[in-house]
Formats: sequence, C-alpha cells, structure tokens
Amino acid sequence: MEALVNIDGLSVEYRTGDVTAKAVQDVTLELRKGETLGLVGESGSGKSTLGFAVMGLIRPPGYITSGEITFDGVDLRHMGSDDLRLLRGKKIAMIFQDPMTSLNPVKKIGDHFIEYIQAHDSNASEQKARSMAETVLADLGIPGSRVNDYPHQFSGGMRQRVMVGLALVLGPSLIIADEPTTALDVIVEAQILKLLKDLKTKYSLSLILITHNMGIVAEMADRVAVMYAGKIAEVAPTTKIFEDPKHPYTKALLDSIPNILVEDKILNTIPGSPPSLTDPPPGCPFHPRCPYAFERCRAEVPESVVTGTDSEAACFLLEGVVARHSSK
Amino acid sequence: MIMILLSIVFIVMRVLPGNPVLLRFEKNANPALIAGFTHQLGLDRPLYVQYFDYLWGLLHGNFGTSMAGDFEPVGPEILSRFPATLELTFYAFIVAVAVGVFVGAFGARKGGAPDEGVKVFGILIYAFPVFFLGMILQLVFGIWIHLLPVTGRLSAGIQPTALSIGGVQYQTGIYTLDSLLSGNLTEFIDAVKHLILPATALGLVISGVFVRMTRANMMETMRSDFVTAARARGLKEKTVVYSYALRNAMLPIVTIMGLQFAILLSGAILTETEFSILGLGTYLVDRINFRDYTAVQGTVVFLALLITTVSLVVDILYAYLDPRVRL
Amino acid sequence: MGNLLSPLVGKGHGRPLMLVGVGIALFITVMSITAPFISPHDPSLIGFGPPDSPPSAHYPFGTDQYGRDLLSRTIWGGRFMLLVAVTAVLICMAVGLPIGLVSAYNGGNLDRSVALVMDSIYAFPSLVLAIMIISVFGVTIVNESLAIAVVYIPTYFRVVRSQVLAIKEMPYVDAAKSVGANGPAVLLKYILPNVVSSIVVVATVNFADSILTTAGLDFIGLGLPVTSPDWGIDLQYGRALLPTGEWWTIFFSGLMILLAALSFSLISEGYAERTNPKLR
Repeated sequence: MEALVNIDGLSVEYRTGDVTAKAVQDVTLELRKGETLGLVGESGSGKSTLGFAVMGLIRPPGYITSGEITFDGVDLRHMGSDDLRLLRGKKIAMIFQDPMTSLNPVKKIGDHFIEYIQAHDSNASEQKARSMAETVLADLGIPGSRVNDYPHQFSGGMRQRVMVGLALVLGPSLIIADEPTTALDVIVEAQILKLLKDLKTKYSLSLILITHNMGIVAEMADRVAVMYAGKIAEVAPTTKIFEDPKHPYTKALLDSIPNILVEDKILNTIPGSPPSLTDPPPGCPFHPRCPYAFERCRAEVPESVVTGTDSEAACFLLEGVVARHSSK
Repeated sequence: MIMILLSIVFIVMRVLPGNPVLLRFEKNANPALIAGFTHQLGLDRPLYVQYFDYLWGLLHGNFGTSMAGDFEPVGPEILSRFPATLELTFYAFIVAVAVGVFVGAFGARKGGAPDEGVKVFGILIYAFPVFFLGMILQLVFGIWIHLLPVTGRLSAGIQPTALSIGGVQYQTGIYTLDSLLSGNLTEFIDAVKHLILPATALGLVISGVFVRMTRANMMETMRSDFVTAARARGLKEKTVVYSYALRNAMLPIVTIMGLQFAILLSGAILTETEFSILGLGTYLVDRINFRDYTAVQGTVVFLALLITTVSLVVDILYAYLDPRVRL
Repeated sequence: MGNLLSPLVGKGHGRPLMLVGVGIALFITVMSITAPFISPHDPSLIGFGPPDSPPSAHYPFGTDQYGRDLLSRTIWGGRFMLLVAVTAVLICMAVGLPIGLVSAYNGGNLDRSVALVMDSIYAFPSLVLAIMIISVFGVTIVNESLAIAVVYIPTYFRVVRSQVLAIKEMPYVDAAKSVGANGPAVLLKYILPNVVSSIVVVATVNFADSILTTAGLDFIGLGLPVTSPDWGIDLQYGRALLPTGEWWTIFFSGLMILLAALSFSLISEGYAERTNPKLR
C-alpha cells in the first residue's frame, strides 16, 4: 500500500512565556491509503498535536521546529498559507472531540455548510450548497428540515453527526478524527463508530483515529501507533499490538485494561505519572516508570527498531535487530 | 424595578429634605411667601397623596411644576432639551463601541506588546475625567488649530431647519437628523462639526470598558473549539475572526450596554457643561443652581425612565442576536 | 493581612501595572498629606503673582486669573478629593459588606427584595444620584462621601452576595455547621476570607470612581466653596481662559485627577490579574 501521508522527523513545540513544551519530538510515521490508523496515547502524549500538524493548524504559540509532512506527495510544510488553507477542509478534514462546542452557536447548521462549501468553490450557488448539505445529512440520519436549526437545538450525538457531515461533504481523501466519541455516551459512541466504518468503505477514505481508548482501536484500526511523551513508542498492525506488544509502555497500557473474564482483585496501573513536556528527563521518556529500565535507558534516547513486518518499537530491549533509520 | 427607581427619586427629593421650598429661600424670607409657594406646588398635602399624585402624573407625562417664578410645568422644557442630549449620547455611543471593539479585537488578535498597549489604553482612557479630555480636544483642535468649533451645536447664523410636509413642520430637535430630512446640507455639516469634539471626548472615555471587555472575550473565544473547527474547514482567517470569534465575543458586551448607557448619561452632563451644549445635563445643573428642586426631581425622573427604556431595548436586542435565548 | 498583600510580591503578570499604580497613588497621597509643608506658596493668596502668566522659573505651573500660584494649588488640590474617596470607600465597606453577607447568607425573600433594591440603585447613573443628594443636603465632606457611597454600595453588595451564595452551598460549610458552628461564626471564618480579595478589587475601583465623580461635582459647581484649592474647581475656573490659549490653568489639575484615578485603576487591574488566573 502506498503512503498517503508521510511524516518524517517532525517536532512541534509550544512556547509560552519562558517555558517551552515539546509536544511532539522527532516523529516519523506514515499513513497508508485506505487504512485506519489508530493513534493512541494518554493526555499530553502529543497525539492531538500531531493531528493538528497534518492539518496545518499549528499556530503560535505552537511552532513546527523540524521535520517534513507530505500529503499525497505534496510538501505541506513549504506550501503557501493560502494553498494550505484550501487543502485543509477539502482534501483533509477533521472531526473534533466535543460536539457541544465545535459548532458556531449563532450560525444555523445549514449556514455552516453553505459557508464552508462556498469557501472552497466560489462558483457554488447557495441552492447547490444547500442540497449538498441536505444529501450528506440525510446519509447520516438527519432530516433535511433541520438544516435551519441552530446547534443548541441538537443533541450531542446529532451534533457529532453534523460534524461528520461537515467533514465529508467536500469529499476528502483523509479524515482525522480527534477523540470523536470521548464526549459521548457509549450507545451514541457505538453509533458514531459504526457510521465512520461504513462511510470509510463507502467513500474510500483513509482515517487517522486519535484516541486514548484501546477498545475503540481494537475495533476500528488496521494499524496502531502508540505515542508517549511526544514520541512514537510502537507501531504495529492491530492484532500484533494486542497479541504481542513489544514496547514496555504498550504492554503496561494493555495490562491496565481490566479483563472482564478474569477475576482481578487489584487493578493494574502504571506507577508514576507522565513526564513534564517542558523539562523532560534525559534518555528514554518512559524510563522512570519502566519495570525493565537499565543504565542505557537513562542516558540515551532509543531509536525506532524494526520488530517484524510492518512493526517497529523504540526500546533498547529490542537491540540486536537492524535499526530502521539506516535505510533512509 | 422602575417603581423602585421612581420611589428612590421621590424619597431623596421630596421626603428627605422636608419642604424643598424652604431650601430655596433664605432663612428669613417672608413666611407668607413660603406658604404661598408651598401651596401652589401642592407640597403641603400629605406625603402619600403627593406620592400617588407624582406617579399618576408621570403616567400622563406630567413631570412636575417648576419652582422658578411662574410655576410652569417642567415636562415641555425637558422635552425641548432632550434631543440635544440624545444626539450627543447617540454619537458618543457609536464612537465608544466602534473604538472599543476595534481596539479590543486588535489587541486580542495581535498579543504581545500591542496587546499590553491595548490593555493600558483601556484603563487609561477610562480614568480620564471626560471634561478634561474635552478641554484638551478643544485646545488642540479648536484653539491652537482652528479646525473645529468648541462650543454649542450650531454656528451663529445657521438656523435649525425642519421637514415640511404639506405645510406642517416636523422637527425632532436632533439637528443632524432634521437637517438631513429637510435637505439642508450646510446645517448638517455644521451640526456634525459641532458634534465631533464632544462626542469624541465622551465616546473615548466610555470606550475603555468596551476595549477591555472585547479584548477579554475575544481572547477566550479565539481559543474555543468552534473557531479551531472553522479553521480546520479551511475558511478564510478573516471569516473565522469576524464571523466566528468576534460575533460570539460581542454577545456578552451587549448585555452591559444598558449599564453603560447610564454611565454615558453621567458623562453627558459633564460634556454638555464643558461644550456649552443646551441639553438635559446643562438643564439639570442650571435648575440646581436656581434651587428649582421640583424641576430637578422631574429631570431625574425623566432620566431614570430613559435608562429603563434603553435597558429594555437592549434586552430585546440581545434576544435577537443570540439564538439560544430566543426560544 | 499577608494574603492581601501577597500579590504585591513575586513574579508574574500584572505586577508592573500594579506597582506603577501603587507608586503614583503613594506619591499623590504623600503630596496631599504634606501639602502644608511642601507647598511653596499659599494656594489661596489672590494677587500673589502676575495673573495669567504661563509656566516659568518663578511659577513652574504658572498662575491663574487671580494671580494664584498654580503649583501650590496643584499640591493642595487633592486633599478634599482623597478625603472624600477614603470616607466613601470606608462607608461602602461598612455598609455594603455586612448587608451583603447577612442578606445572602439568610437568603429567602428578604434577600431577593434587598437584591432588587440594590440592582435598581446600581442601574442609576452615579453622577445623577450624587447630584440629587448633594443638591438637597448641601456640600460637606460627609455628604459628598455619602452620596458617592450610596451609589457604590450595590457593587459591594453584589460581589459579596455572589461569593456568599456560591460558598454557602459548599460541603465544608455544611461540615462546619454539623459540628455546631453557628451562623456568624461560619460567616466570619469561612466566607469572609474568600471574599476579601474581590473586595480589594472593588474598593480600588470604587476609589478611582469616587475621585472622578468628586471632580465632576466640583466642575459643575456642586463641590467645595470656590476659594478652596481643588483640582476640580481649578478646571471649572480655568475653562473660561481656554479661548485665550491659557492651557496651564487646567492642564496640571486635570492631569492630577487623571493620575489619581489611573493609579487606583491600575492597582485594581493588577491585583485582579494576579489573584484571578483566568484573566491572564
């Protein structure tokens, strides 16, 4: 499968006052055409920032300090801001976490669509835009008559459908969903996830699914990338990650999910807390909490190492296998 | 709430001082004269009678009787002075909102040093005594540079005109409006010229609040999800800033406009005095100097009613602007 | 007390603003208090110098139309205003705080009625209310302070009330009551400390506003008797001289009023920024 998005050595930092937070550090990752890539990590792991970077939405106080991002062969980092803006929303669309706050409270739903459609196609008439909106919304189970309503008149689940509709209406090739169901209850969550699955097939989309929920990943993703403290810890096909996680963090993450079939008396947790992004510890970011940490982990940053077909992990425990970077 | 306002005025002006007529005259004035005055003004009746009379009279547009000389009703005089004040506050308000929103939004968007400047500007301009600012403007633009007139509403020799329809004169007393309606361009330009300095002085001072509020609201709104989502859809930055961020940031500001109007009126009194504009402000001060307490009472009542009306209009306006409130 | 002053020290955002404000306020206060000692001449002495003379080495701020030295008048001019402002703020706190605390704590219809009355006064233009009261009662320091205080009490009331209403429902208050703490004790121990920092902000704004209102009253002639040196009065009389371009008669007095009001506004803004993280 060819790559749709290529991220190479990307670093993003946020500068506020005297402190600089390194949100993303030297991330190399690719998204292949037609796949669903699950991007997993705790809060602060950098997964959302990565998503924004691909959208070109990193603005001051955020800065991309190094690396390249390519979309469909086009270099996003050195694109003019106007070109980038037109690409955004047309070829790549984003679905946000909180449907309650993602829509403009004083704009009708229909107007959200019309404005959006006309921003990318100045020739589109209001009529045409309106019918495009109604078609998409019908696909999602929202009757056309509701196009003149305001966001506050919809429930959370319906608003998220509207967001999905907005993401689809211009026919993008990639959708980045940033925790699309975190703010919804489980029943609605199931509906939205099913929706995404169906739409992906129907419209031949590629999907980056950003979440902290391993359950969603298990259900939806083809491949999984695990992030920790702004770095990629492990990337592997979904089944592989669940059956045979290589990185200590991934292992700990999976271990901490309670198993409904086993009678656990004590919940497994990962001791300690995520590192500070403004003052990260030297060496491997996970070493303070890693049960397998040794001397080298405290001193050097592990590079990603190939661990099997389509799989890699950044851990010194996996030394003895050829380093990935030498092929570049 | 109107009732409470009106009652407060009544209590302060009528109940607390006892007999206002006594205040007007010197201590050793002729008692018969005082008694006569008191009777003429109906001030010798029991308080509760006066109170009901006061309220009843207001319902009919009766704002009391003047204590000066010939016991003229105060109402017509108030109405004749009102347009000048209305005109001044209207234009000052426009200046205040325009400056406030523009500068506030500017600071919120730019951040850094310009933003600090905007913040300080907001505090500084509001701390300015409006009459002092007026004086500085008069000095600079009227006296050192002979650009604009410094007092009054019209230059000598220019008469206010009115719209005539079928021989009947319709005159609002608002010169900028009347002159446009009657097609008299000379008068219009003259009236506008006279309004520039006072409206700017008053408007600038009041803008301080709007600057700070707009800035704070904009900063918060720019960080909200729907703004990021709008950018993610590839909308032009201009659209995002105005149609999404500013439009929402402005809503809470509308809610304070009623309150600001009251402050505007206070400032108008001082501005009118400074620029010698014959409006309600100067009328009020004038009547106080003449110790015409019933007229003062009438004027204050009128102002209270005015503020209440404006607050009501603002509430309706807000419902129109925020769809979440409408239903 | 330490809590109150803590925003003054330490790094952070609003500090420069606040320090500038404190500096200016201190300067004006000291100047006004020591006026009898530092003023070069008698501010009320008519015919002391040549009338209407611009700033010069002899008279750094110039003289007014009665030949009075303006530098001296400027040094003396703030006393009345500061006194009125301090008195007004004290009255407001003495009245507004208890009413707010008690009314909000007891709640019910009484609280709602009081709140309604307060809101009505709050909506009233401050200058007009002050004018009403002064015109009827005459001008003394107490009267003017009272007039201004009346206008501002509702603000204190509202701020205190909203805090009390919020804290009243908190679990730790219930906990205190369950071990036998009674009303006033709860008020004093739990609610008051939380209210204090908001009060500082309101008080400083109140102070600034009071200065501007007093100046306004003086300007329209409802202030002190004519002969006392006062910034507002200087503006009233200097006004007539403007057409001849005599700017010094109004400039320094006006500037002082501005600085006085500005200094307290800065303190207020800086303090608010330091104690309320949301504003940063």
